[in-house]
Amino acid sequence: MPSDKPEETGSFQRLHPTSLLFTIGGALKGFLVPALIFLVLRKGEGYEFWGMLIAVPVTLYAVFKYISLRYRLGDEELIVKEGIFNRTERHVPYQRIQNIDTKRNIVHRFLKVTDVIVQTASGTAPEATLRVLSDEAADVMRKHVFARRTAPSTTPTIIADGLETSEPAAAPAPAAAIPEDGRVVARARIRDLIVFGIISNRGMLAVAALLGVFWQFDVMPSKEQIGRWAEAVLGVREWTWLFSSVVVIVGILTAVVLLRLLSILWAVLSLYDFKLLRDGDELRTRFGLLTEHALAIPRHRIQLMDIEATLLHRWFKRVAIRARTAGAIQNQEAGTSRDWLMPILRRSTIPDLLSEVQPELDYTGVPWRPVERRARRRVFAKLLFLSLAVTITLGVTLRPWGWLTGIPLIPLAWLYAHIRVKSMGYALTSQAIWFKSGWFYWRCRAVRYSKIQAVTLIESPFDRRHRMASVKVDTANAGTGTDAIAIPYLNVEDAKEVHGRLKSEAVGTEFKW
Amino acid sequence: MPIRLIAGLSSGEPEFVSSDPSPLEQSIPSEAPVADEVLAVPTVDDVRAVWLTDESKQTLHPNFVPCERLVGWIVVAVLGTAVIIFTGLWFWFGDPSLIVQTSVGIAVLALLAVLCWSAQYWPPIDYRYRSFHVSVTGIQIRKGVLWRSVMDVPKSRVQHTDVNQGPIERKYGLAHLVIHTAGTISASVKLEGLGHETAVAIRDHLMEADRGDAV
Repeated sequence: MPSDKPEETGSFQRLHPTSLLFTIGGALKGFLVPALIFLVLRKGEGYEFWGMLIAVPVTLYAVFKYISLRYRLGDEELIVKEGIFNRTERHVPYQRIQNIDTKRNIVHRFLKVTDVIVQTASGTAPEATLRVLSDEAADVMRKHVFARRTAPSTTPTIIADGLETSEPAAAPAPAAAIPEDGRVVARARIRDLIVFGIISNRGMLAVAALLGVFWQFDVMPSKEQIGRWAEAVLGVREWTWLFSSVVVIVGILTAVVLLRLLSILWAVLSLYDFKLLRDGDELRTRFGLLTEHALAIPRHRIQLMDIEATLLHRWFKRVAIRARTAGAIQNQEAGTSRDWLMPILRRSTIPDLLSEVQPELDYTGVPWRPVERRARRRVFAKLLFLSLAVTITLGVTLRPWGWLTGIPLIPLAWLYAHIRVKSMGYALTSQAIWFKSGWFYWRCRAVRYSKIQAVTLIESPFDRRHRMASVKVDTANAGTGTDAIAIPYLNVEDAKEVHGRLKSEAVGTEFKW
Repeated sequence: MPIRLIAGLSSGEPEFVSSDPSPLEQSIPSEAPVADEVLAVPTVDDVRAVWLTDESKQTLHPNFVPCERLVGWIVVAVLGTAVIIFTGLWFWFGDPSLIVQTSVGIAVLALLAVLCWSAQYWPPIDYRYRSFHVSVTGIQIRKGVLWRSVMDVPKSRVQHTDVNQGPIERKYGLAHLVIHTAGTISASVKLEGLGHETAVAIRDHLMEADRGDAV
């Protein structure tokens, strides 16, 4: 079996034989729940049964794929051959590989195999997904790729990014050979994950899925059924208003508590023992109890760093930290995101984490500058215009009380304008630009000058009237349709300075993905 | 860490040096550009010799105005025909009351008038607010009449460039340069209204081999 001899890196190799199982399983996963429900409940139209026939082509596909897919670890590139009728041969140079992720659920772990996902900067889809390789083969592949990837370019890259001047460039190559290794930079304990569960409220996801299934198969309990259940459980026949409302309130409270409990359960299971490790220039995250994820992020490939906190986060004094690389892809599984460096972190430990992850980002020493306070008037005026429209509409339709809606709207609009403008701040440090904004959802973002792709100064007609302007910074993978950083409401003079400074800083650095 | 904010840090490049109230304001040509003017064919050396030292921004090729006009009129013709046919059909088969017919008719005519005006008179206004500046370190593109923007793309961030020519552009000897970066919004930056040779010259300048960028 070729996959049993992963040392022979020069030759083409097949996937692990259990690939057949996983390919079929992965394709059928979507049909599994409906099929089970059909079998158990005997509900539905029967098309669920015919749907199961899809297993036949899926199996054929899996067999063909297993037979045809071969990969080879060349000296400078990964080569993946695929297809029987339509043959493709894909060459992925190691230099272009951003990350190699692995994913193992319980079955994978039992069979000692893993999904390997090779990411490049192309952004939208993984360059290659190898489902599945034996653990040893995956390990060999990572070692091989990381050794070759870092070897020729490490030194210039690191100098170009202004990183790691104190650390010798040769360090990452041998250390990267053992991906499980590395110093633990941060770790989420069970307590943190419980807090995360409370904050993030993922329970709704489970409920939505459950309701969807009920709806699909028409097993929503009817009113009479609910009545009968209530009789059985509570022992009542006569429904008074008081009693009904008590039942409703208790029901809602129970639901809220249950949702949070579900959310906590989800957090603990999916993010169990979330670890951020650092090994030279390589950052790794590992997490998950049932499905174990291992992601690797080369430090110099981080395009932008986010520190995020909702209102709930702030109450618990926690934040979430994300790092976007050029090849980052949102994970399909609900809730987990591949760009988390730490989903939950004590606010006080932000500087420690940043100093490990991006040494040039000194969180404590950021010289924050506010945007123009005059902007409050602009935000207020905009909102006033909106609330006027709302008030007139309501006033005309719901006379006479509709007109009263305008009264609370005005102070609210001012409050919002005040909070919004006050929450914004920006800073230019020696190596990065920072921007923070938001109150309910607060976000602080840092972009190193070397990752800036374009700088734009924008002046709207309103800006001109108030002698303001905004500055926008674009990076790779900034998110669909948005700039990485957009600082609004700057004084024209400040905006010019920021624009000029960013431009010259960007020109002074070299971009290395 | 103190911020050092120095205006015009990049030496030798024109920053916003004007004492103009608006940073995006520029010297607006007093006369509409002449379309038939014969322009010299610039080369990369011209780019280096003139543009890189010249403080002034480069305006677009004068043919950009008639080209945009033609495009505008084509759009007006297509849209106008569609609107007229639609209202005609509605009046004929829907048979709305006279008041409705009159008011809709006036609205349609007003819309057509606005479209015609903008097809004819918007391009020269737009032209005055468009410019670019090629420097040793990169390219700066200005555009927008109401929402004015100045975009800077450093040369080291240019991944590749295309020079494209549509059929109408070809008629006027124009081309547009598309600058591709690794960015998101700036993944492809378009610079329209260049003479074909100018576009090629800028491309050659931006794609010079001495950038040392490896992906």
